[in-house]
Amino acid sequence: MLKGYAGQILFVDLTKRKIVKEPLREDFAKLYLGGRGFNSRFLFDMVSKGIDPFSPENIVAISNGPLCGTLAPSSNRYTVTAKSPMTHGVGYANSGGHFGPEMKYAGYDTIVITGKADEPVYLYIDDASVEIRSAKHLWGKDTFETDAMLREEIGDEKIQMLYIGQAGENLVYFSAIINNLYRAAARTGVGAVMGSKKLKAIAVRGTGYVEVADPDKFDAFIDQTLQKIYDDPAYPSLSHYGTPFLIDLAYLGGGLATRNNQTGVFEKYEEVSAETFNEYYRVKSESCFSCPIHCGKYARVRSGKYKGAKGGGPEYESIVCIGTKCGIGDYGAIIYANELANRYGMDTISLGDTIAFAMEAYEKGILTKDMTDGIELRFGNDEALIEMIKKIAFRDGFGNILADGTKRAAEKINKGAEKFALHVKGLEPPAYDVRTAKAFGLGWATATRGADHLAALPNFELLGYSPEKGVEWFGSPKAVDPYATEGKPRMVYWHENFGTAVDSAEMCKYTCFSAYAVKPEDLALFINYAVGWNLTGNDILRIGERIYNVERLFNLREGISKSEDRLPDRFTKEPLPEGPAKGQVVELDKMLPEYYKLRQWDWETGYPKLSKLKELGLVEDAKKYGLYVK
Amino acid sequence: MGLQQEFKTLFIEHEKCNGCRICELRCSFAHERLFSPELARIHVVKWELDAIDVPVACRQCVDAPCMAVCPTEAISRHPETNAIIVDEEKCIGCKMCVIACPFGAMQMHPVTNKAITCDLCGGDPQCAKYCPENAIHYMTPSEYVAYRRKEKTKKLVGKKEKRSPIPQAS
Amino acid sequence: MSMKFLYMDESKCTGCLECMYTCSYTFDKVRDLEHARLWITKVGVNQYKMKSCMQCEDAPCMAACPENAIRKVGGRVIVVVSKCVGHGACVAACPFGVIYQHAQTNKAVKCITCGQCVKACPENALSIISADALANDKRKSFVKKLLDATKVTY
Repeated sequence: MLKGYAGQILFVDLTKRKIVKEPLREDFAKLYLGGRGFNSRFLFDMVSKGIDPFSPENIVAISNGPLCGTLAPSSNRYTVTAKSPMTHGVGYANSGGHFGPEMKYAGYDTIVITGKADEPVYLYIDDASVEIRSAKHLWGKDTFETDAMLREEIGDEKIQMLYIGQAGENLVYFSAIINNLYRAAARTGVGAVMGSKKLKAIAVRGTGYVEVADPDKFDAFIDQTLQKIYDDPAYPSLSHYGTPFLIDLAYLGGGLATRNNQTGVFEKYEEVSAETFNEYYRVKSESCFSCPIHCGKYARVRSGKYKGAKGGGPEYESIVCIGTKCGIGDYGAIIYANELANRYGMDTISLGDTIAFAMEAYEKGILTKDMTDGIELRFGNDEALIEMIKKIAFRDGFGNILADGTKRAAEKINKGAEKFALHVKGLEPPAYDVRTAKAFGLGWATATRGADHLAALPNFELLGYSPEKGVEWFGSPKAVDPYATEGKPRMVYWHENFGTAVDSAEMCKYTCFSAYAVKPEDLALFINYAVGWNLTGNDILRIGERIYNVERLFNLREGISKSEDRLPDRFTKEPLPEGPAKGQVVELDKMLPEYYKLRQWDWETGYPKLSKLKELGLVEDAKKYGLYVK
Repeated sequence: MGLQQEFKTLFIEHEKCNGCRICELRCSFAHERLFSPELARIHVVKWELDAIDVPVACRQCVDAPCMAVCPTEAISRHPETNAIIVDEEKCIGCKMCVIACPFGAMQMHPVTNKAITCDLCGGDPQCAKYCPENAIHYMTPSEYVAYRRKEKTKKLVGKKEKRSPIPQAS
Repeated sequence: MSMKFLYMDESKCTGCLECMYTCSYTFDKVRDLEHARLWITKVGVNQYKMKSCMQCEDAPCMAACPENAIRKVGGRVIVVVSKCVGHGACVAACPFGVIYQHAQTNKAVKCITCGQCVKACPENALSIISADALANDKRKSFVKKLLDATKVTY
């Protein structure tokens, strides 16, 4: 019996209303680790080329990791994977909270949902018992209402749930899956895919336990790791201020994205600074399961127009995307907008970005009041932001156009709007302005799910390390300079591989990419002590690289070619106009060729070379679809 | 005649609790070498909508109702820590102690179906040791009162902890 | 398997005794307090206590029976009527006095959590509950009281 893992995969066919349980095979687990890794493999195997993401042929795969449910620090996340309606490539989203461990205690490493129910349903898992129940009474309710109603209906306080809001029901392309009210598996539209299957929620109760192979070594290594986490210079910032501290960091670097990335200097910075959040809005920390960092915060608006708005967050990404990118410098509005995004179930990054795009179009006269249902979509107009969020969730009027995301909205609007429709592969970009962090820029261009800061998360370039460390880690003294391009391809290659493994172990990247408290060899030890294997740090990197290439193959099979490994012109051709990073652009052309060399991907086609596929055990998969070069 | 000896028990500053449940896992691991909140003797009561998190564990009552109702005298006190101890052999699993405890701190072990509760880990409570918010204190009542007085005074005189959002390089 | 048992929320009981009448009717087809397997006693003005089998894990009645006529089945302690010869050892062994010998048959009778009294109670005071659920409810009530008392507001 596998230690660490639950040892079981649950397959739910919503069309046939069939439930099948299969044992987790150890050889499979050793290749794909868990979490995102398991999901990506299922996606590649079960979802054929060219299917409509909203068709019953798409899957929704949900996985936790081998360390989930234990005291391994911050290792209780879960990943949801599906073919993305936004990119038509691999779509996945990752969330914290308390859902992952409950699923593990119930006895499941992975849940794979296929087909489509003939009416709204929810899945109720109570240890071994799995039921598909009617959700007709929940359809049309927001996530908070759904949470309360399910808790009452099932009558068990300790259930954990994930759910979609009205946005997912209405197939808003960037719908999120929400858990614990304020946690979101947000990106790439996984919520819309769940909505297309008429699946409203999954409720789990797990009374089982997790057993590890070597409890003594596991416990001792946790103590060691905790010390490193507590010694991390970023620990006081994250644990007290939460991710809002990144607002200050971005501002200092001249990259606080403002008005759809037109500049990196926000004149209302003081009103959205971490200290302002701490002084007037922060109430307390609200932590994910078994995490010593507890970066999550709960906030309340005590006065002003939005008095009474409250909830978990807002996270740095949200403060920027539904805040500064829309020219809004008011935590009251941002907290209320965040609450709505959680209630309706939408990704605050794509949501904010799409509205910011529309605002720029309006300011430039491409959009006019008669096109926007009379709403003055100007930067800084918080009332317009709130109204637009509501309209998007219900695909009402102009909201229907924005609900398909920036790329498609720009195509519909035309008139040159594509110039500032910011996306990579169809997914809108996260908060950090990559003209102030070149490795991040390369990461956005190459990430398998689109413009994504988390696939690589090369924080190394931002931490002010010595040039010697830059040489030691990535072969260049300039690797420690965020504005330089040297050393960045190697940096992104390494971070993507390790990051994929971390995602598959469902550990939070704040343990790894903050002060690198957990490095590949450390993750290997955690897994070895938990499961009883003998992995090395290199094994971890190879597992990550394997999973990354499976995702790459999925994208290539869908026809997402190397030409999509690019950045919007705003980041490569429009220099930042002011501030500490004035004049900077992302010199993607200087970094991409070397990155391809490291990946051993053919420069012309983007296909992996046979030698690399052999190393990763993916030759058959690539050959079957002709996705390789010799 | 001296004052009655004060024993240390767990005092929980619930305003500090962030709901991470590390205490539950530490308890489960310390007692069973397994990870499961079902095996914990401490439980965090949560209301997510209002971000309320309150850990609840045995109060180690001086006049313990659980001890009073036990029909087989299975409940006694540890000679050193004075913690409530249940003798598994004597316990018949009648659940009277579960009913008697006003805090819901007495519970039945999911496998043996015998009564279990916080035993203060024999004097080194793991939950108190590992709580990242320092919300659980293993103190005598006098110690805890003194601690709270100090905290309140700090708040009243507006003594702020020196803090900055920007990480200080080490 | 966790043992569920009959539990009464004392704050709701009005002492109507409908539970006892229903219980005796369920098993003996007469509404007679002498045949009930649960007992309601008055302990004060509008204050009542309920007593019934606790479905013990190591039930003393089960250990005492020389005929092995008492078994645990499906989370309940039950008397196998065909095996019971009316010894009475179980009656003496039970610390709560909730098992007794039937006036006519002399065989041991006790609560088996059939749930009829729960349905009959006009105040919804009775429930068949697991220790886990009960402890959970108590924790929640305690926390509510604690927060009210300390007036926690944000």
